[in-house]
Amino acid sequence: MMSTIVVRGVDKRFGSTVAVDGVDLEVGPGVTGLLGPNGAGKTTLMRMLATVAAPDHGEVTVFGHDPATTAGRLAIRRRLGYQPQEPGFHGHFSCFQFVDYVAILKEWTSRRERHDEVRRVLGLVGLGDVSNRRISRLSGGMKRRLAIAQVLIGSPDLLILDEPTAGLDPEQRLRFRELLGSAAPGATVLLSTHQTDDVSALCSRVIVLLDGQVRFDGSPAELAARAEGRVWLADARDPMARLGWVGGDGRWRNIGDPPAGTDTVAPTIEDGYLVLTGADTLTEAAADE
Amino acid sequence: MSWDRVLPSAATVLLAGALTTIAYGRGVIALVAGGAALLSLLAARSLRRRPSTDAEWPDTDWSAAAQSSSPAVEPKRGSVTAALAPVEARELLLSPWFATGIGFCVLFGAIAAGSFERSWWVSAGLMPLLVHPLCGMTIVAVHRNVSRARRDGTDELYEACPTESTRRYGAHLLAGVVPVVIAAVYVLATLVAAGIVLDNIYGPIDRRVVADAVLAGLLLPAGAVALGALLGRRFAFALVPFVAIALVALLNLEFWDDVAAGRGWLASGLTSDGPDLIYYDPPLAGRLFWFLGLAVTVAGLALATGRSSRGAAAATIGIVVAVIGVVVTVRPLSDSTADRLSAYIIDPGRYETCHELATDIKVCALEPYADHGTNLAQRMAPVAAAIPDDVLETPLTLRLLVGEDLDLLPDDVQDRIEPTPIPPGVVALPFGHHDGSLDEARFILAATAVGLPTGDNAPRNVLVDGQARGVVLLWLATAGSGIQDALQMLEPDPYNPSSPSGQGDVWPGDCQADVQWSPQDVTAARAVVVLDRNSVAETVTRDWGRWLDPSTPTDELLVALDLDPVGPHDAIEPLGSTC
Repeated sequence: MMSTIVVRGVDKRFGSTVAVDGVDLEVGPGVTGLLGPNGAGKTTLMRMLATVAAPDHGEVTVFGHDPATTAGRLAIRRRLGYQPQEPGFHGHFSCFQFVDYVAILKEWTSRRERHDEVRRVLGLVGLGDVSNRRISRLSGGMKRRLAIAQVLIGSPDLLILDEPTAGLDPEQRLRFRELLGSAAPGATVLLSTHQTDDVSALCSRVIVLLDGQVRFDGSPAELAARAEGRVWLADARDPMARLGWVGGDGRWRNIGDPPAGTDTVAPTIEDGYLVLTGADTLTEAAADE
Repeated sequence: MSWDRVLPSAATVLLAGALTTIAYGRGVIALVAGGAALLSLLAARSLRRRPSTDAEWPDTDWSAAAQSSSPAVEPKRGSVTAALAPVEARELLLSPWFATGIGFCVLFGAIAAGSFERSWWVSAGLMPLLVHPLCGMTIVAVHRNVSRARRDGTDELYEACPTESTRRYGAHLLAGVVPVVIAAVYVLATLVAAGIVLDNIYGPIDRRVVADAVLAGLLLPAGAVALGALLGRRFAFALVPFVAIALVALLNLEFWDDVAAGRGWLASGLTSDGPDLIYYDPPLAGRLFWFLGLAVTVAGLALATGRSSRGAAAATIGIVVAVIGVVVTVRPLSDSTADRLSAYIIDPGRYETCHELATDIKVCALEPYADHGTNLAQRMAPVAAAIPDDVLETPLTLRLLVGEDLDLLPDDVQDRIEPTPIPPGVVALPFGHHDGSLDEARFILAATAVGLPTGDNAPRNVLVDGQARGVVLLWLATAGSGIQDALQMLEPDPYNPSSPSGQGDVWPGDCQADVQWSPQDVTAARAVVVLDRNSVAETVTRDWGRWLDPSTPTDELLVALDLDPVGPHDAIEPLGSTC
């Protein structure tokens, strides 16, 4: 199957800071998770794929179109739903007015069809009953859902979602997973998140970025397998562990090189991610949790 | 609290109160009412519901999510801009800044419509000035709308949509139809109200000047929209539109008061207070080209991008049109035009129609102002009839004259005129049409009859305190009026101080008292005007020379009329100009 996204040797710098460093990847239909600590280059990469930022070097094609050309960008944007990391809103707009405005920008010029579509996507994210409420009066979670609603306009073929579940409570995250699974069948979804359980639940593929480079590209199970034989439980923090924390059952979950004879447990995707990114990122990732 | 919405309201209330104070002297009431409204607004906003807590994610028919919606087909050219324009128009209409502009316009219009007293040429020429509050606030409102995406952080999301940003800017320009239509309606309504309903404007309704006023009223807000869009796109900082407004105001100050050389017409609002515009041959078409060129230039710059040359092309066309407008506006007068305009001043008798008010008394007006001449004749005829026969040394012609403002005329006209004093027997009348101006014409005639030169014929502030001739003047000036109207005419100017000088100022008009009385003289006149006019006329006519003698005191006249003396009069000082 032809890849939706093809990235070859892409660099992006901001002054002396290297945000993306020689990234090569291909992404096809299905949900792909993008994991990485803060500053790893996830948002920069997604902005380039969403055609709102240009790479310094390298090639990007989306649906076979080159975003460096006006025609290419137009063709990509017509099939794109994008949620920025920090989606802004016009506080005095109602939910309906805001999504309606974005729908116009997505070239839904027929008023009746557009309004039907706006009602549809607001209903999908559960904001149908508050469609006339001013955005300034919405809670943070409702605003997140509003941001997701505008992504779904026109059932785009490519969804780029930068931390869509940030600010959502567990139940809302669950519903988001359900929504994404059903609302975008056959679409290509690129999902950036710090929530490894979201990746486990949603993604058939996961990419880990670190220091602007792709450090892992595979299935969630393969990511978890990176920690195979390196996770063990103990009653105290093991001096041999590079990382360790107390679990809900009061026992320490240690990650590292286990002492000889220790029984290891089945690793999770989070374990694999932590092994991959190293101890230095643990504190950061935990704080983000 | 959103200061963006509160500040314009507060500014509106304060300015409205201040203007009402100036206009009607009821500012205290207006300020109290405005303050109450402002407090109500603040209270209402503070009582609004707090943001709701995060609601549960409601149950949703998730199966619906799988239903594929029809993606939008490729839109027709311009259809996205057309779909966005109503949204931007709505935002413009809901903008408190825009509402503030409309409020100021209505306020200024209401004040101006009631106080216009000049010709259709002048009144229509001032109309564009009246839409300036709307234009200024339109710049602010459009700037805020255009910069909304950057301010609210939605620009990245919008950028990822297939609609180019230039189409959004185009929608902002298209939404400019709102202020344009409002301005057109406003200009027409104000002109109709002032000229037809209130009958405050004189002269023929010249379609050319009305069209100029309306078209300028359309082009100025259109230019304001373009400027707001340009600034909003390039400079999102909130103070930028205010700086732009200040710069436009400075440019206007540079152009103003140079109407004679044509540069005054380049200002976005004319403020000429000199001779009537009939003496200028207003370059109306040039001015409209100038405004149109500027608006198109700024709109082109607002749309210009590095990739498309359409905006740059529009800006280039706009510059060409603007330059044509400048050339047409500041071009020298043709010889024939200069001859015609100077002839109005050198030999007005050739171009005027006259009305005989009484034997040896007539009032004349240039043909374009024939209806004003008729009004003057009607108002002055009773005064002329009350003047005793044979008291005038020479036949008297009262005439609308350019007066002291010859140096404000175009050079080519000035070059054809030899400054000459107003000849004996000619009295200048003011170019005014409201009741105060018409009453002033009556006072001028009465003053002339009692030997007191007025207006351009003499120095101002002639003091007649304690003199019987001053009371005779007032009696003559109120001729033909009912007792109540006469007493009303003898009310002191309410805007003057409560000093004796102010209490004795009953000369009509707001700026300058040609003749001043003491409060005792006014009291005496108010007693005289309620007497039978025939018996007073008999007494006055019998000893006309005695009453006109400056040494004859007011009390002597009162005694002759069997009235009680008013006693010693207060000393009064010249009021000067109060404008």
